[in-house]
Amino acid sequence: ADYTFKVAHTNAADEVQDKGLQKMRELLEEKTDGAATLEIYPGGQLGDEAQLIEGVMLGSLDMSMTSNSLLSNYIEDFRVFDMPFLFPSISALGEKVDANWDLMEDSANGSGFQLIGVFSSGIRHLMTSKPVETIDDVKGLKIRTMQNPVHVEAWRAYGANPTPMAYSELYGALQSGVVDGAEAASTGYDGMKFYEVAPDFALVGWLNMTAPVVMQKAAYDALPENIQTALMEAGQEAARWERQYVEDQEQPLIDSFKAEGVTITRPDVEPFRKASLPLYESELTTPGQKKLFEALTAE
Amino acid sequence: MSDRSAEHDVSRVASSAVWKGLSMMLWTLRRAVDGAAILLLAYMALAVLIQIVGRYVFNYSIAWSEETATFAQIWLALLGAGIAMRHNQHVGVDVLILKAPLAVQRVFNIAAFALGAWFLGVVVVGSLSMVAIGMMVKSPALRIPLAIPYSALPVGFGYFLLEFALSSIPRILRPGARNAEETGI
Amino acid sequence: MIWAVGGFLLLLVSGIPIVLALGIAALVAIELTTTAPISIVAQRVYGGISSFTLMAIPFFVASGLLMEAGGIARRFVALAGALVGWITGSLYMVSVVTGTGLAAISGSGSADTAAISAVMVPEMKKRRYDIDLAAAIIAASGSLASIIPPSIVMIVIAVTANQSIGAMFLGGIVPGLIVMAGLMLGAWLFARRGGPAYRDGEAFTFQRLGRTFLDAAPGLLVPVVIIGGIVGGVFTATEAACVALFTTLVVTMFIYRELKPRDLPRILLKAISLSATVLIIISTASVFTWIIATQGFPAMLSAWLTGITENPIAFLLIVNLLLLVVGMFMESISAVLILLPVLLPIARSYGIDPVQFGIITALNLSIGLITPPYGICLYVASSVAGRRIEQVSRRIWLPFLCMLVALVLVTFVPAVSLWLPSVIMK
Ligand code: NA
Ligand code: NA
Repeated sequence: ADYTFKVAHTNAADEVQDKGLQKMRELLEEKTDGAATLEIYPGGQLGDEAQLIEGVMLGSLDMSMTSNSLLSNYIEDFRVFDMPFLFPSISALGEKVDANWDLMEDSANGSGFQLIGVFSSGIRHLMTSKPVETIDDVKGLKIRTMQNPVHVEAWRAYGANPTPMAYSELYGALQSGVVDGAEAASTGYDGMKFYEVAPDFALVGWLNMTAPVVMQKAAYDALPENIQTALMEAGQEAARWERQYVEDQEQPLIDSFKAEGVTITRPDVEPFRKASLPLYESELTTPGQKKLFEALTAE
Repeated sequence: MSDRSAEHDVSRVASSAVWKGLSMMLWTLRRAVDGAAILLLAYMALAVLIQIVGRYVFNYSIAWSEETATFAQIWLALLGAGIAMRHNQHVGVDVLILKAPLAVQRVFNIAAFALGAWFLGVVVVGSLSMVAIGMMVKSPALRIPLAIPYSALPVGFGYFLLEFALSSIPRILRPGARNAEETGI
Repeated sequence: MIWAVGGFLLLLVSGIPIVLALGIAALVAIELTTTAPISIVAQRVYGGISSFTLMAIPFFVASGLLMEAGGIARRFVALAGALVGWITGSLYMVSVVTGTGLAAISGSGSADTAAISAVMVPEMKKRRYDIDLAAAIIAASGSLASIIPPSIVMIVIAVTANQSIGAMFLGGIVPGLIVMAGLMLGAWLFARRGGPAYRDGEAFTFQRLGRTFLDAAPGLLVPVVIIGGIVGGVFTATEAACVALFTTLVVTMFIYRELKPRDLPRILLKAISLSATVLIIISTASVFTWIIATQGFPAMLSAWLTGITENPIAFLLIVNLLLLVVGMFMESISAVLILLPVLLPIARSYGIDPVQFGIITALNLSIGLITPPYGICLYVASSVAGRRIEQVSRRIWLPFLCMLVALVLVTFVPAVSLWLPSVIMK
């Protein structure tokens, strides 16, 4: 191929996000008759998420796929996607993304990135070592969150004692009781076998998490137009495919947890959603963030 | 040179004054680095302790304690690399080279110095663009500029380079000498 | 790839610090084989070191040095002497047992190695033990941390292989105990022929045991706090390292009163430079790892391996050899991340259990921790013992042989790794 793009992410090889990128490679090769292709580096081989994004900025990596909660440190407008209870489902998220693509692309361009596709990393629920039936059951629980202030504040608002901790320490921390639970997507709950140590799974769906694929704007601009078009089409089509895949996978996964002896609960999410509302005010402060927020939440 | 003694003496006095000034600066720099490193270690320990105490005693976790402790660790490791260079504590295999003829040793020492300085210099220069990015990007938890941890790279590797040069020069001038200081507890 | 490894080997014998040899070799390979901007080197150096869990290293190193300076280590050794002082080569035994104990409470081999070295080496020097063998045995005991749970490497393996972390942890226990028993036996055989230095000469008495125990009791608080805290779910392994540091400070300054505030800066500075030599190697090795990953080495390996053999036993032999060589040069976690996704599907196609394969990988990489040129436990042990790598390397064959025997057992007897998880996890 004349154009080989190195794309890296930190999910395991053959996890959904990796499959999505494989799909994108297939589409890109098809659209360019093999003139362009992707080289996929899974599993954090090329570094953690912050390094992947900075690799793209510095030109040592062509594309990165990272969780939005990290990318939003670099593309401030994308902080909007870190907000809890923004979209009821992954397909609802997908519709809003497709409808507001130009606006999101502008946001990315403003920070020196080209947005290629918005993948999903699933809807995040709550895993614990005792059943959570209502928001009151969360009170006082030590819940592991990512090192992201929005996540920390959200769980504080739900009444928990949010405890940021390295993901690699989480299994042991759940096992020994350093934390009482953690928020996670069902894919993570399954992949890391967290159900062995936190056998209660409350479907709160507090965060619909995205994984945008980005490229350096200058590198993108330097490409011939046909390659640019093929990249954008392949990226967005693959993202649509991947989002559907994640959504389709959700129910069978939850069923499989039951077979592992997991107690599934469905707490009323309305109190969680209400407790999240003040965050929209306190966390989205710039004009760009407000504009994107309004566009994405408009009826 | 030797017959123009008056001039020579003047330049020698001047150079010894310069030398004194330089070694005074070096001494000050080293004390500052040592002090900073101890403060960093103390900070890391306190930050982690506060995290544990906060979780249990106050039922409140501080989001930024882990982040700032990690930043402190990066500074500590990179400054520490230079301190270890000063004490010749970095591990190396010099048993073979010490058996070689002195001329060969000198060539190897010069090449090793040049290559080592190249690597350390590349890190220093390459990290400047990271620091530039870090001016604009904020850390996830505390939202302080990432330039704060990133500048540990140019500073730490710059200091490493200085100590590497200071330890290499005598080895180039007088090959055959073993490391001056044995490590150990 | 060839450039990187070849350049590294040449640089190694030039006497330059290994951290620089690693960096230079990677830099040469980047210049020759990629178009990546040179800032990638700085990025990877930063990435290698930006990890909260690595913080256990400076904490455990500092706490080990304080234990030694503040009289805890001396009392521990006295107690151990009362316990097993009648066995030939008792201090080697104590090191191995301490190593296994620490392995069971920490995930990081280099931190364990540092802690044991700081405590044991001064005593062994005083009693004129073979210090090179001591460092080699301590390095091997420390390397047990990645086989005996909890283990950071095993968590990474389990996640990469999509296996139960619990099963992987349980699978490591028996192989870990085999290595421990082998190390004690090997040390005993060596010490038996080693002369009077290895015989304490004091017979076992309960009086002596009681006296040394009472004297060591406040110091025993340190492991009690650590083990109790981790098992009881009070804190993570990294936090435990920090608690260990504070507990040591309290015991040595306020209970034994052997440590004076004015001693602190000197000891802490030593801990800082010792742990920095380890951290900076981890950080520079990640540049090396990056170039290997981007050069498509994993894909080449997969094609080559499936091309040469269809026999599972031959495959496992080749994999062991390969991992041993990789372990010589590479840092464990990077090696897992790069190699396991390539090797595991092939292993599965031969019908090898993924948990067993994970343990084989972990054990190979722990052996890598004690083999030169890149063996972090070996570095730490040599460095704290004040010996050169090549001096300690002359004695490394003994622990190496013990671990190799364990590796052969794990490779060819599936029950060694699979029995315990099958009994406990059903
Ligand atoms: Na362990
Ligand atoms: Na090794």
